[in-house]
Amino acid sequence: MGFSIAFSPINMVYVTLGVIMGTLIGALPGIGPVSGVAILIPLSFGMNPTTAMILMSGVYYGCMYGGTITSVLMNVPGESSSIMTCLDGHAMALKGRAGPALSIAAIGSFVAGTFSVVMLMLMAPPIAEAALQFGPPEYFALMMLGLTAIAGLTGGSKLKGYAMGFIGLSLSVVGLDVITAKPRFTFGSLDLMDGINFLPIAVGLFGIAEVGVMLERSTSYQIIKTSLREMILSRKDIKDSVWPIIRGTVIGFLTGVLPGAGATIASFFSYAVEKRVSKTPEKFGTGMIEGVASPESANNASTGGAMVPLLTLGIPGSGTTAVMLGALTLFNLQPGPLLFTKNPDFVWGLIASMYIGNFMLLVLNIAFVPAFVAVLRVPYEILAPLIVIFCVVGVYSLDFSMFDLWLMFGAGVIGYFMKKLSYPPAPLVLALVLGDSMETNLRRSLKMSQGDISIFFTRPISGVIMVAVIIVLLWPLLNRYLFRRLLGKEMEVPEGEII
Amino acid sequence: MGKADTVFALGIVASGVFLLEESLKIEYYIEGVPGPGFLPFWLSLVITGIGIALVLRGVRSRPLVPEDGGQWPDGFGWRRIAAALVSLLVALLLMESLGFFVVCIVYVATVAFSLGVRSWRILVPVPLLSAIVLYGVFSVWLKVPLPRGILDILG
Repeated sequence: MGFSIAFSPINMVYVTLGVIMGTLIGALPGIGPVSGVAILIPLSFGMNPTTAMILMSGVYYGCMYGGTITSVLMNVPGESSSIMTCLDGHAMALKGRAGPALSIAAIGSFVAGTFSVVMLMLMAPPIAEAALQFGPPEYFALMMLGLTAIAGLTGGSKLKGYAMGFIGLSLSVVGLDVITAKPRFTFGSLDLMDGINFLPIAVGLFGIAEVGVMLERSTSYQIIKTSLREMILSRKDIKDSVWPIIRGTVIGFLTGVLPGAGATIASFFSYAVEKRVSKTPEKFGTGMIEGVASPESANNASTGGAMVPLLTLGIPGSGTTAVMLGALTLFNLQPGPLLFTKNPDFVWGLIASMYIGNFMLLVLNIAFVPAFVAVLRVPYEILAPLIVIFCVVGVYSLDFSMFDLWLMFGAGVIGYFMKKLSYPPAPLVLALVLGDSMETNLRRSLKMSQGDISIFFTRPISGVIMVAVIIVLLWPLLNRYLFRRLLGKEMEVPEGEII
Repeated sequence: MGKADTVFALGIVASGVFLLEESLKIEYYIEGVPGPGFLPFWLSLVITGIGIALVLRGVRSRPLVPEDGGQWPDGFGWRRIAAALVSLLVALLLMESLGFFVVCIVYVATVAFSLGVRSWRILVPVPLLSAIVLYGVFSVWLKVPLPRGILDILG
């Protein structure tokens, strides 16, 4: 059923379009998968929801590879998940081995992406089945876990992450109360009665703010040339890459499943593991193909992993899936266990398209690297206003509202300062997306328990999840005292945005 | 970054206090169950508390220690950012009166020019083409009612 939907002509066109756009978005500085997917949402309103998600998913995993091109050829990570690829990928390019670096990244991404889709297909139905037992306390606990994980597991200041998460929740309460329909924080404004939509905020925080950061200095990049012939791998390259790809794939998928741990963390962990198990760790950073194969496999595997909690539980595993969740609610599709029973066409069509998309990514990204590189030669002074105007028209298309554009502008200005002061935007956007649902489940739970908050801890499933929330909240202390005693050092979570 | 951190954190405290003040005007409980004021009240306390903690951290931090976000831009950088943002502000103010098509052309050309692009072979066709493509895709194909502005007057 899934493949018959995925192979339909319109869906084939859109999955191809998605991976091409994703690769471009991943390669272009100043626009990432979160804002890329967010801007696509208005474009997808006229589409069937399945087709729309196929397009957005294509963009998501396409972005992972797009960032690789700039990492290898320019030493500039297109995305935070490609930072590690700069180390060995660019070093390989400087030695005249850009082609093998790009090839192994494409092959590793394909293997990892395919594995993660298979795992998604196998894991999702039983998880969805188990989740049918969930009630309001379980859903609230899950959303708390997702929010605390995204806010608390990023590198840098956890307090700043939590601040953004709670501010996102406070933005979500603006408008009519979900249960009583009474206006809250509307100040008599009709625009505010409708609440604050996540899309202008996401585009402002991730798109406009990033353009501001990119404009700080005039940059011109040196792009190392490569040709199709150079992309052929030697037997040694393949032999050296097999186990790194396998390790990166497993690490990436498992990391992607965890709410709050996205492609960036997946790629950092896999690089660290690869260096740890290598017989020549001192050579990492000088052009080791393992240092490209593993993180590139990990970041693509994480995309499939992140779809597991999104589709089965309605909990996003990353910033990009948080925006996808918002998109699904705009299409009146509620991710969660009922999605598998009420909309099986959507679920299996999406999963099947991910197989196809991964294959297309492999072909496109080996054969068409020169074409993507040509786009990178466009000066940022021309790209910047084009990206901004595209954000404007995308946000306006949501509700045809100037108010949304002003929200986007304000979010862009604040988002710039947030970036400079290391306040992560992903928790704010996730909280804004989940806020209504969280509040509804919280109040329903307290109604069930007559106001007794212990309901979240006395029910077995929600109790276990809330223990996980407490562990995440106490992670800095655990890290400092427990892991240092056990392992001799703290476990370092890399800094950077969760995408 | 210490001063900037402190100022931003003060903004968070201010938003928490504002949220607290407004949430006290909303019903906390309705018939013994949490009402619409319940969550905003508790959120305001948490946000204010975190904000105060961040203010104290900002006050104590050494200003020369660079944050992860990096250093502030120099004058050149601020001018470039201002060019893009002020142009966007003006574009949004004029969007409904001039229309999206005109605003798009003027915005792209203005920003590219202020960022240092001087070639007329780029400054004329790129804004025009982008306006045509975006207007065609969104307004004509997707039927999004983009503001027409002076196009309405021209018919």
